[in-house]
This record gives sequence, structure tokens and C-alpha cells, in this order.
Amino acid sequence: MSPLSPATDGRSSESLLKLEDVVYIYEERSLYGEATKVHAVDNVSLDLYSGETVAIAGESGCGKTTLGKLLVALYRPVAGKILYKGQDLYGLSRNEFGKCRLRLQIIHQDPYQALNSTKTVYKILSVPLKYNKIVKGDEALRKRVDELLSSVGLAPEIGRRYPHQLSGGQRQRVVIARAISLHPELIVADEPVSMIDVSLRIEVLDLLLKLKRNLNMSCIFITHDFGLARYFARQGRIAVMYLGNIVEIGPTEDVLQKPLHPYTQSLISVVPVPDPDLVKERKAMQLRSLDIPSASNPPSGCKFHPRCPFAGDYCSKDRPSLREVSDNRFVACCSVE
Amino acid sequence: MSQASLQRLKNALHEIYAFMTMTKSSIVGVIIVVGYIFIAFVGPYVVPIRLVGTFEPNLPPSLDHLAGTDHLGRDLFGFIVHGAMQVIVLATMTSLITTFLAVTIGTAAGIVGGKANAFLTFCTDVMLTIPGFPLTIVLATMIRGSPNMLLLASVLAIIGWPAQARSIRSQVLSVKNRDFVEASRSVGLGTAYIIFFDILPSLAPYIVISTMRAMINAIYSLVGLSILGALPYDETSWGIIINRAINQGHALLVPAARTALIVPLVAIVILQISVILLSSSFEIMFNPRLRDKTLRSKKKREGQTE
Amino acid sequence: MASRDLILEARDLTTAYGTGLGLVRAVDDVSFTIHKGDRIGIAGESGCGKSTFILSLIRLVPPPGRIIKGEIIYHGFGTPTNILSLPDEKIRRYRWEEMSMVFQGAQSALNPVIKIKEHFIDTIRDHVEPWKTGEVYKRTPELLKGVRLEEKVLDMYPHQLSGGMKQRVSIAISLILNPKMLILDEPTSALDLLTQKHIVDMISDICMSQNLTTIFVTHDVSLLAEVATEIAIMYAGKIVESAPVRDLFHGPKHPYTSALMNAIPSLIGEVDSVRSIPGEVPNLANPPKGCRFHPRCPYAVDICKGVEPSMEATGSESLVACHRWKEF
Repeated sequence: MSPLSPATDGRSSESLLKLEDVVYIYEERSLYGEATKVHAVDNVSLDLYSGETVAIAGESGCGKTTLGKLLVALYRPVAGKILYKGQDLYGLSRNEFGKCRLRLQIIHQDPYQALNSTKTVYKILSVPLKYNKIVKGDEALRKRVDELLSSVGLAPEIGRRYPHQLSGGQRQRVVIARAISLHPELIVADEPVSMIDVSLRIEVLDLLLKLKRNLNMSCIFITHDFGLARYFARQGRIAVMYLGNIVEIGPTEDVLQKPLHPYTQSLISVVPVPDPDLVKERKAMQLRSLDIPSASNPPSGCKFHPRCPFAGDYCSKDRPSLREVSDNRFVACCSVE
Repeated sequence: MSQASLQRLKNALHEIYAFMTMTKSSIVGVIIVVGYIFIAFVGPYVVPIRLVGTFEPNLPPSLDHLAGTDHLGRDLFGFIVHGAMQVIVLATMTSLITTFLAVTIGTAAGIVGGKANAFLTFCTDVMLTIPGFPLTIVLATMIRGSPNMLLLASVLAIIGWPAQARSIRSQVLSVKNRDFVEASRSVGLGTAYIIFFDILPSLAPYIVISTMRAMINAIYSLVGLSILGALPYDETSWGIIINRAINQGHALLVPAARTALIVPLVAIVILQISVILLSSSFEIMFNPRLRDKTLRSKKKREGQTE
Repeated sequence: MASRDLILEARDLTTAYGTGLGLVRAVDDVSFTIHKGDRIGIAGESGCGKSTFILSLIRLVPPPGRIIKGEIIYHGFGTPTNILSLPDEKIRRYRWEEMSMVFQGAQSALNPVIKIKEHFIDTIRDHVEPWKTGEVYKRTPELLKGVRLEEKVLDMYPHQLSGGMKQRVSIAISLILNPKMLILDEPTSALDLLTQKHIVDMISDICMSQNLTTIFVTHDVSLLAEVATEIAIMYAGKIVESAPVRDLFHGPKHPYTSALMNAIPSLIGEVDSVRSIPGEVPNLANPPKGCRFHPRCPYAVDICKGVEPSMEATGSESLVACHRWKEF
């Protein structure tokens, strides 16, 4: 498979967001009031470039949603740095920080929760423009909202409706329209189609890809569905997360066809595929243990070692970091050369 | 006011009218409440009262005496009409003060936590340990000398607000983490905007309902207090009518004297019911989903097609 | 090869909900045949009626829903019996002893304040005379082994178990009275991939070892490639195609089936060939005339707009409801 080239992905070599050893901890309270700390994002470093597509894949609880919210500065890291175009995001003045944050937008998973049901679609789209003084005057505002609605494939009269009068797909389009209205440079889409009917998902993903191209944005696609990740980020990269760490990252097709990290390999071997013959042939990778480790008390060393069929002695001692094993491919595993 | 704002006001009034007439129960509720307000403010100029008994005592309601007479032969209808003002004004003021305190402190506690939260917890704990009603009696008697409506309403509000504030705080805490609030933060909307346009509107139905509930509690409290004589009174106060009926008219023993007991009670109960009906129509007005459903059923009933 | 005796037949089954907007036929004139030992997968998108269909089979349609037409003939009693005409006490025999169900989100259906063994005991007590309870309970360790759980799970509370374990417990509870049929409604939806695979394999093993007839309902068609022997695709309250699993995936006859397969991106095949199905899922209160899929079907012709297609046999075990299937 040919290595990633700027031409296919639209990716430039300009660093947009750079995460350095970012940590995010949240506290869980048990029934008895004991608090346990969960390292939702545990020392993650990531380089994101302008105009690229990156899928972040993993199972529930791996920290991908938290990472997404860190990327758009909705959560603040407990440790580590986030650099936006080379500048420390949290070192900026409040004003500058606010301006930068407008350039980083999120699309939530649930279109039913992402829109305020007491406001009309027009209000939802016009207020951010008015508040941030991007568009001034009622006439200009109306025109801009109509433009936004048509760019996501909705008729202008949708502006007069309330969210509960729209279908799930239509709501998600409104969410997308809101996200692009501020000319963002990066959009994080957190499972944007998981609550939409299967036959309509590709439409929404195609819309996102088209908008990404036209507006030259970076798109980070968070999902637990590898099929969707492959479709969306086919010309970009995919990062696989496990218990708060990125365990593998590289060009999408490479990683999916020839996964290197044992965890990625085990996942790929169990992803449902619509081919009964293939299903019979392939064998699920046998893991050493069926227990899923607790997020608040992860295993020592490499977090995957209790389940990993290739684990050696050193795996329980040191936590491996991402190392480049070939062109643009990084794996966090000791047994991969 | 500009043309556009005038038009918006007209639209709002039209909408309010439409929703008030949405269901049969809401129409009933509106009519009764408006009726009571009318009676309270206009009644006293139209209906006379005589403080000296000139009629046959303990008469049941009839065309001459719409509410009968009490044990001293005084016409009760006039008393009820003149006493309505105290109940309605006081109950409204109390519920507004309660809600204002509950929303302000509850929201502050939910959004910021910290001192507001600590204060709220302290107040709720105090209210849990000190019996509420006796406290109100004591406070009310203390200020009996100065019959200032506002002061009185505040005293009545003191026991009610912490519980309501706690509910508001927990609602705020849950709305705060919803996706659309996060989205508002993401698009750069400030905290003030989020509180007033995202969080509070989501809470609006709850706030309106709990204002109504506070009103109902306020009516019970103030009638209870005035039966006990803890509120400044004159003979037209509904609670005093009940007090007199029991203590001097011996209504519990003498069946005929019960008119004076039952009539104020009926007036109170009808008022309460109409407030409840009103609150449910408010709930429909604020909730777009319920609104649509009710509008559709209304159209169906009226025979219109979709 | 498992015996091909009939075990359940649905004939012209119609289940409807009366709402303020009119009668919504969630399941509309559906006929379906199930043989002993089959592992049937029912797939379709939200609103297609699959959940209502299986609830009808076990007569647990929640009000305001009602089965308004049709018969469900069960053959496991010796003589064919119409389930819909059974009186209440007989129905209680039917449920859980003949046909059992694992509901969607079954993990959260476990009572958090009682131990797992109590769950088993409660279910047994509901169906079995008091003096036989102990005997039936003795089957529990074997069952737990079948779902790959240890016996010590019996003394635990639900919150001590993971999502996958709770799901397995629910499956075990549904099998305690040795039913002949098991229905599973989205049994793996909240679980991670590795657990999902584990449970799917386990269900296949149990079904094969006990010759259990299974109905597996999901919106994830790819999942059915792993577990089903036969698949039925539902759309807008009707079954549009049913076929053995290989035939369905390799040669779908109904335009909706092929469009659906084509709309799901997977790890195999051409990434670029994936396409959404244009249009929206129809409103069941007012479905399209004729073939319900015609507004979105690229092959629709005049007859499709007026006449509803009936199920025709395309092979010994396949059926499709389309006017033009022979041309594909």
C-alpha cells in the first residue's frame, strides 16, 4: 500500500494540533462514596496536521471521547501540553484562547441531545454567528443561515422548525451546520452516525468529507466501528486506543489490513464482516484472559499484557511508548520490531 | 418599541391565548383564576360588607345570601369577597419570592458550587432539623405589629425555598453536562448566555410548575396561620372566618353553623384546583413536544385534518 | 443435519399500535415459517417491526399494541396450537418453558438487590410446583458452564459482574426451564467487540449442542453472518426477503437487501462502492402504496407503486417479496 501522500489526503505538513504527554483524570464515586481516579487519557502524544483525516478507534471506555473533547479544548488536561499551531494553548490569554477554541469544533454523537429543544433551528445557527460578531445585521444573518442550511442539504424553511420536528438525520445535519459556521480548522466528530439508521449513515459521512474538502478542515472521526473508520479515513490515518493510550497509529488501510499491535490484531479478527464464508475461515485471536481490566486500576507496564498472547516478562514492567516501525507507522509494543 | 418588537409582543400574546385555550382543563383553570382575581380586586367595590350581624344567623347559601350567614348573622359572601385579596396577593408574592430565592441560589450552587453550594446545604440542613411550621408561626407573630405584605410574604417563603432550591440545583447539575450545553461552550457562548438561554429555558417548565406548587403551599400556610391568628387580620380573612366558626360558632358541634366553616374551605379548594389546572397548561406551553401533541389532539377534536 | 420439522409458523400476523395519529401497523400481514434447529436472524433498521414481531411471537406486545390479525401456530406441544387463542394459564406455560426470550438491555433487567441465584429461583418458582423447584435448580451449574461462567457467580450481585457476564447470566436464566426456542433481541449491542464475539460463539455452541431453535434480532446485519443459518430482512413492517445465510449475503434478491448490504462499510470489499439508500424510512402510520420500498428503489416500475408484492419462493428455502426479482 502506498504511503500517505499529501495529495490524496489534502494534508499539509503544517502542524495544527500537537498533544504532548497529555493526561486527563476523572473521579468516579462508588456507592460508598469512595473516589477512584480513572486515567481516561494516560500520557497521549499525537500530531495532527491541517486538512487531514484521522480516525480514532477503540472500544467503549478506551478514552477516545475524552481525547476528542481535549482536542477541542472542552476539557483541560491535568498534565501535558497542547500546542495549537506551535503555541501552548493554555498559555494564551483568555481572549486568544477563546479565539483559538472557535477554530476547534465538535459534533456530538446524539443528535437528540446536541440541540436545545427550546430553540428554533434558526436561533441555534444564528446565535453563535451573532455572538461572535462574525455576521452583523439581520439580513446578512438570515442569508448566512440559509447558506449554511443548504450546504448541509437542508431547505431554508427548516430554520423555522424546532429540533423535535426533525428526523435524526436532519438534526445531525443541523449539528454539522453549526459546527462549520465558525470556519473551524478542526472538527472532532464523536460517533456522529451511530444513532442514525444504517442506510442513511454513508450520506452523512459523505457530507462531512465533502465539507472537509471544501473548507479545508481536519477531521477527527471517533468511532468503535472499524468499517466506518475505514470508510471515512480511507485516505488518512487511524489510531487505535486501549485504556487511555494510543497503541497503534498509521495509514488506515495499512493498519487495518496488517495490524501490528496484538490488541489491534485481536480486534480486527473479531470485527463482524458480511461474508459467512470468511467468518468460518478466520479464527479469532485467542487471548490469555477474558477479563476486561478496570480503568481505575489498570495493569502495570503494558496495559494489554494480561490478555496478550505474546506477552513476555518485560511487558508487565515497562509501559511501551509509540515507536515508529516503518514509514509513518507507530506501535506501542515491545515485541514488534 | 420598534415595529419588530411590537410584532413579537403581539405574537407572544397570541400564543399565550392559544395555549390557554388548548385543553378543556386549561380553559377551566384560566377562567377560575381570572374570576378569583377579578373578585379580589373589583369585588370589594361592588359587594358591601356589614360587620354587624343583621341577618338570621347560620343560614345556608341561598339567593339572598350566596354564601349563607355565620353564627352572628353576618353575610358571608361579602366577607369572602373582601378577604380574597389577602389570600391571592400574599400567596402570589410568597411563591414569587420562594421561586426567586430557589432559582438564584439553586442555579448558583449548581453552576459554580463553592460558597453558594455550602450555603444551600446549610439552609436545607437547618430546615430539616427545625420544624418548619412552628418556626413560621413564631416569625409571623414577631412581625405582627407591622402589617407589611412584603415582609409577611418573605417570612412565609423562608421555610419553602431550600427544598425547591435543592431540586433546581440537581436539575442544573444534570442539564449542565448535556451535549447542547457543551456545544454552546464550544461555539464560544459565554457563561451568562448559557445560564439564561440554555439552562434556565430547559428548566422553565420545572420552575413554573414549582412556582405553582409554592403558591399552593403558600395558600395552605397562610390560611393555616390565619386560622391560628398568627397573621394580621380583619373579619374578612378566610382563616379568621374558619377560626370564628369553630371557636365561637361551635361549627364542629352545631350542624347549622357549618356553613361558615365549609364556605371558606370550598373557596380555598377551588382556588387550589384552578392553580393546578393552570400549571399543567403552563407546562404544555413551555414544552414544544407536548405542545405539538396537544395541538394535534385539539385539531383532531375540532375535526381539522393534519 | 438438524431435523427439519416445523416448530413455529406465523400466518398473516398483524400487530398494531393505536396512537393519536391512527393505527400504526408495526407488523403488517407477516407470514414466516421456522423449523426445529434453525438459527434465524432477523435484521432491519429502526422502525422495521422486528422487535414487535418477536414480542408478538411470545405474546408480550406492550399496550397500546395489540395483535389484530393472524395466527401463530406452535408445533412443540404435539398438536399444532394457535398461541394467540391460548388462555392465560396456558400462555404462562408457553413462555419460558417452550419459548424463552432475552430482551434488549437484559443486563439492566437484573434486579440489583438480589443475588444471581435468587434470579434463577424466582424464575423457577413462577413456573414449577414448589416440590420440584430444587430439582430444576440443580440444572443451574451445568447451564452456567454452558455460558462459560463459574458457579461462584450464583452468590454474587449483579453490580459485581461485567456487562458481558450479566448478558450471559440473562441467557442462562432464559434456558433454565429447557425451552425449545430462544429469542434474543440485540443481545450484544452494549458490549465491546471481543465480548460480542465470545457471546455470539457461545450462543452458536449452545444452539447446536441442544438443538435449540433460535431467533436472533439485530440491526447489525454483518453480525448475523457469524451466527445465523437463515436470515429474514424486514422493512416497514414486512419481511421482504428470507434466505439461507450464504445465499443472502452472496446473492441478495430484493433491492432493499442489496442496497442495505451496500450501505454498510466493512473491512472487506471496495471502500468506494458503499452507497447510502436515498430517501427516508417510511412512516408506518401512512406507508407507501404498493411495495413499501418503491419510493427508494432504483428499479421501481408502475406495478410496484400500486400492487403490494407477495412472498414468492426463489429456491427451496428462499423467499422474496418483489415484483421484479426474476430479472435480477
